[in-house]
Amino acid sequence: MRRLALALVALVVAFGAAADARAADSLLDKVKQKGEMIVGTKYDFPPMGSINKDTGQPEGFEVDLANEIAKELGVKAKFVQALSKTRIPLIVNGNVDLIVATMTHKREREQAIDFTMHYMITGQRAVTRKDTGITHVSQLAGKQVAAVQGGNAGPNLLKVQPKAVLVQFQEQTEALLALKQKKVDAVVSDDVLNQWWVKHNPELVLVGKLYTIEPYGMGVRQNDSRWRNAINQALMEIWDSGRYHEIHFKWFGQKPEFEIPWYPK
Amino acid sequence: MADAVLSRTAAARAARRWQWFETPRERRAFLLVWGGLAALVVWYFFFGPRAQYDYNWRWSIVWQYRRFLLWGVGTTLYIFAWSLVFSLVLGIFCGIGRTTNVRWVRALSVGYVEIFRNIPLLVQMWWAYFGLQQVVNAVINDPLGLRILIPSTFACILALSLYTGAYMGEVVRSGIRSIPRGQWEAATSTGLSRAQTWRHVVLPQALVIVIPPMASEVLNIIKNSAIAMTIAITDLMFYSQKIEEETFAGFEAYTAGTLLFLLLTLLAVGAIYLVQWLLGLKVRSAG
Amino acid sequence: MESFWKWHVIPENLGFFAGGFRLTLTIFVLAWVGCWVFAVIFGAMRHSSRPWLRYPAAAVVEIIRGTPGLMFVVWVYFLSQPLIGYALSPFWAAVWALMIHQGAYAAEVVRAGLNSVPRGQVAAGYSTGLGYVEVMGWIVLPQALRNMAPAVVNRSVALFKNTSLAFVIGVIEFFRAGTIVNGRENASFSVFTFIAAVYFVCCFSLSRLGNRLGQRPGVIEDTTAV
Repeated sequence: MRRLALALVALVVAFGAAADARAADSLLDKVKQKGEMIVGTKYDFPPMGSINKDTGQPEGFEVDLANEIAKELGVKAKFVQALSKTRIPLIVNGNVDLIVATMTHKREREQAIDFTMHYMITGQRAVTRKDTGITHVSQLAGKQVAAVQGGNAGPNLLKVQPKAVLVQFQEQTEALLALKQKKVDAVVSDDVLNQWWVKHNPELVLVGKLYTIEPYGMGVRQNDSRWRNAINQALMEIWDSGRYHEIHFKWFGQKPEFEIPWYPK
Repeated sequence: MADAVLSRTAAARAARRWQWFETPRERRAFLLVWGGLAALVVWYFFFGPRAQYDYNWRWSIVWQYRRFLLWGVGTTLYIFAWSLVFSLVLGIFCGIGRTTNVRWVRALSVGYVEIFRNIPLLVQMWWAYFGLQQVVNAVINDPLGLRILIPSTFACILALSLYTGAYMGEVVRSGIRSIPRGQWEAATSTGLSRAQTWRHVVLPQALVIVIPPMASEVLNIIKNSAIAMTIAITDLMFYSQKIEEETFAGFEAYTAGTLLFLLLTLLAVGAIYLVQWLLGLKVRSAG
Repeated sequence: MESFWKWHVIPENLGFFAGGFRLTLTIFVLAWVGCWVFAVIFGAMRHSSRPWLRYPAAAVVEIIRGTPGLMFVVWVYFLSQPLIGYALSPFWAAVWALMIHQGAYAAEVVRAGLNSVPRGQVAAGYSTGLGYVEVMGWIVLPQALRNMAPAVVNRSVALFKNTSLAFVIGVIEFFRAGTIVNGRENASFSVFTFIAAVYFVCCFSLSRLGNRLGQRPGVIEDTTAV
């Protein structure tokens, strides 16, 4: 036991070491040199990012978009899973170069990372089973509502309905499973996913209207303007050439109803 | 008289043991190995490849978010307490079951131990939370219109108790087997029944013998309870991640969580020492 | 009304499960090798008669053993960049984390194995003029390895079970393959029972091997539940 106590003290002292603050080179050069860009994307969020059951590879709107951006930059994209709670640490800690994972551009998140321009705008809403009879967010008072840890959905729901009881899972699939198993009465999530769930699960139904606006931005490392500009410009190229519209049509069956904040050359 | 001699030599041995280096060559070897390692670490952190990384340390986060950490510790302790009780009971019964002469009881105990020791705890917890719920839904809820839900803490405690109980059963079994057969025979010859032998002769000795390995199983309950985070339980691990989410200070958050786990482990070890001391036993460290 | 008896899900997704199992095996093999390298180094240091080797090794092993495995995996993945300047992929972070975490437990096994050889034999060996290498190679190691064998198997089984922890950082190993399939098909009972059965078969066969090796006196016990 004394050994353990000594070990504890040693650990605390060792990690009190001072940091250093040397500037880093731009990711753009590093990525071009490696020829490969590590992208964090969702694996549990169809149609944005999910795992194809036959190939075992990630597929989705965001996966295609990331692949197009990689083509623009002349590199290959390698995908890594990003959960809602891990996507910001992944960028901050340098495990990935770019996050394309249904991440809402929020002002408070700008403390830790930088965002590219929005590539999609959606909102949040609750989904429930038909047999709960819930038709409005106000009816969620005192009910168990599932959300994913680290995402916006939980805190946003509490702003609209402070009396809801949040049950936080690691991934969207678990939240959906809990809903189907009647452990929770509703799930709150981004509407792109809600629409997909309702389309593929006839026993689910949407609850009321959207109560937030979620512009999705891609996450990049802080203070790396060259990298951020490169991604923005790649996005605009993809928009100009019509590839964005093709990808959107492929995954959503319709043309996009919004415009990315485009600017001329 | 013999004690005096023994304690003198023991003291002498202890005094010699605390001498760090026996020869100057050892002292040089020590400085070379550990000094070189330390120099390497310092160089790597401040001048080498890692130096390029920019990270500002914010240890005040830990104090600011102490509320979260306390809630996490509370939940972990709650799970720990319940799992401890159930796994101790299960372990003792399983240990007795494995050494009894009744064949079906022995077979049942062996089956229990083998099944629950050879499946990862993670799988067991998810099975208890999602799998069992599906069975309950299909068999009880839907036909009868009820709504029996398996709460996540229940699933966690169930899985953790069954898992640790299997290991504890093995430990108890080894303790029981270490009691010499002669004591069994002596007990029978003085007219004690089987149950009385168990209660007055075998178990008291066996349980005392196995305290060190049991202690390490108890510590394992605390560590294994971290897995509960994956089924939506807000324990210490969950809150470490939550702090990291809100402050983006991953290193500090996880270090705080790790240190708290280590602290809980220390507290558990201290509690076990206390129990040993209160029972008048010689205090031995965990295995 | 939904049934829970959806066993058809498993043959339909067998390819996906197989891919996950292959990854589990890969992680297991790599981590196993590294784990025992780590264990031999630190176990020998802990067994050494020199305090300046013993105490630092003890500190390291005790700290690592006191950490939950899940937290260690998450730690290594996220903090690899700040700590060592290189961002590990989820696969390698899981391998390294398992290596070090289970290695600390394995170090205890090595130490117990070395301890199980009576000191008298070592002394006798030195007194008949054998050097350190001969004493280790001819007297200590053969006995220590034979005594350690069942505990080594036990630890390997524990390592195999702990590969499932890699799922939390996104490695698509066997367990996560199961959760992904389950998310699509909502067949929790079947999927998780199947996963449990596969793990059981693998671990049980391994531990049967360990049982057969353990039926001799002098063998050390190792039944830790991590």
